[in-house]
Amino acid sequence: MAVKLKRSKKAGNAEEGTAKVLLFACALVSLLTLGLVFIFLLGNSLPFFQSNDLWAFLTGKVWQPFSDYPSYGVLPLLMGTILVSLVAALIAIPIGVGCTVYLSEIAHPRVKQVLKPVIEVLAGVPSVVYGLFAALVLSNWIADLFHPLARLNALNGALILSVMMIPILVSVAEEAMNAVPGSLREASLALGATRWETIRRVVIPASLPGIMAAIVLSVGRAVGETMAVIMATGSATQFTTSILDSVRPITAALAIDVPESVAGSMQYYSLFAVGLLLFVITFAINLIADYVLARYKEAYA
Amino acid sequence: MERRTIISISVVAVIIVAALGAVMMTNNKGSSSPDGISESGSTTMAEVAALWATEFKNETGIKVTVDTPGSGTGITNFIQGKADIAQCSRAMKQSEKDQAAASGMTVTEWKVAVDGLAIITNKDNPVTSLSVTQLKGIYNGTITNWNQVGGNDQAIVLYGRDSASGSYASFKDMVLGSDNYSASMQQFNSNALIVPEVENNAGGIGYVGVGYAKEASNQLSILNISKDTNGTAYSPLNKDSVYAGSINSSSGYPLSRYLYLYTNGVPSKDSSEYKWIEFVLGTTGQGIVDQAGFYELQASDLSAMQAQLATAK
Repeated sequence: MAVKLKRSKKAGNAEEGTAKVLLFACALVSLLTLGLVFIFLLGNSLPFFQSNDLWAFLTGKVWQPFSDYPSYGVLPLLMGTILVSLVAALIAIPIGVGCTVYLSEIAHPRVKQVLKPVIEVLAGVPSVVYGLFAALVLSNWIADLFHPLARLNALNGALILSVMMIPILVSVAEEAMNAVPGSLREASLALGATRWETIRRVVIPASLPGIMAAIVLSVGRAVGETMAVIMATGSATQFTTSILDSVRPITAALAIDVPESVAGSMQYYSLFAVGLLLFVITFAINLIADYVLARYKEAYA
Repeated sequence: MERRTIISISVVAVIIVAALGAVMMTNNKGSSSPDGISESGSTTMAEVAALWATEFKNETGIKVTVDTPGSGTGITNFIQGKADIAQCSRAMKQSEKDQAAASGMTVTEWKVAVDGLAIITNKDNPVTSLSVTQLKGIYNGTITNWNQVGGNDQAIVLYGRDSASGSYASFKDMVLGSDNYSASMQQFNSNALIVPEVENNAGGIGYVGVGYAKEASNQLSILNISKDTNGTAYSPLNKDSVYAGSINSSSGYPLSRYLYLYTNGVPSKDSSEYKWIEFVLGTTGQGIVDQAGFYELQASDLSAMQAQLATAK
């Protein structure tokens, strides 16, 4: 009795080949998209940089692209993004990592069963809902506590952004922490460490690449968030270092000014220059995270 | 399969998909369904336009869709063919008219209502009137405290519209001239958002279309504005002073302006746009303007517009 044990070599090869082609094409799409977006931004910013001073752009404190005497200083927008995202990160990272540690190491399984889906639902709430909450409710709470001049201010934006960052941070970091093998924890406990020492000295360092990725992802969301910050921060174009002033982050400026600009005008190109700046900032955040990770791996390898 | 073959087939496949996508994106379809009209622009006219559209649909069955991204964006949409009609709370600039001409369009301007841009402040603010010069000082950032204009010791908090707005542009033309708005002015994309801000901020001041101010007149203070420091101050709630006034005249409410619709040429007699303009300029349409809190066209302006409509073929 002849039993067919193998497929013929030719047919197997074709299947293999097709699969490889399709998967490589998918990878190529992401690479191409990134490259093309960068080229598009660069191409449309060049006319701006050719007729405007780069230094004045980067350090100018007045952003008035549509006035009769336009001024293209990006510092107010940059300061807005920094104020809102930095403060949000300062709030969200400790809370997020703490929440992750609790979920992963300390929570009773039944508590975890409830908490984890809740956090994942929070991650999926649309930004405009958060923005509405910030504009109508959170701003009033802040106004009652701090009595700022501007009801819609950078603190409002920072708080709502931190609320948006925490679910993402927790979801990704929790996966990383779960992936730390139980044998590592058991070994640490067997050597006499307390649970807190185990968490601090073994689990967190072991899951640090995942935690870094979670932080970068959530900061990326904060820097790129548009809808919520437009509704929450009041969109004033002033350069300010006070958290209780109204600010306009880069994303909000793009969303507000691009529909008004005429294609091909200097305002149009200046907005692309601002977009390019945002792209570079996001890129830099990723690079810094990679660097920190590489150094960390060196130290612990 | 060889590695080289895999790579080349993948690259070709991705390029084909990308090219198809690019072709599809550059094909700009027409703006409206055969019978319906798309109108885009001013948020000041949002309520009036919505009421017009509902009544127009009841009378003629033609659907008019109105979106309100701001006068500036509405004009851009109109020039690019994405909207049939632009509704604006400011007149079209010469540069925009040139752009439209370059695209082969004839810009026909229709005055459809009169608005007195109302300056609103918090109910507890004792200041009841300002001159245009003081208003300019407040909005360009030189006057920062209410006690500089006869009020309490309270920092002034500025609320205004964003750059896509017709109200932003008309206020700037009428009051600021070539000065810029103060960078600390908080910018909103609609009239409706400014009202609750000023209601809740003791030092707040904002500018909105008179219809919006009238709706909230119990929770706000609407200032009287005078042309010069010692001149007579008029209220935007007074129809006659709004009719009499303009930024250039010496009497009447200084911040009066027209509300406009723009079409591509005078619409032909059998088109939906003709019926729409006829409706807007007719008794029902102008009655709706009044209902929304704005002011209908005066007799002289109305007859001029009717005469323009009569030139339709």
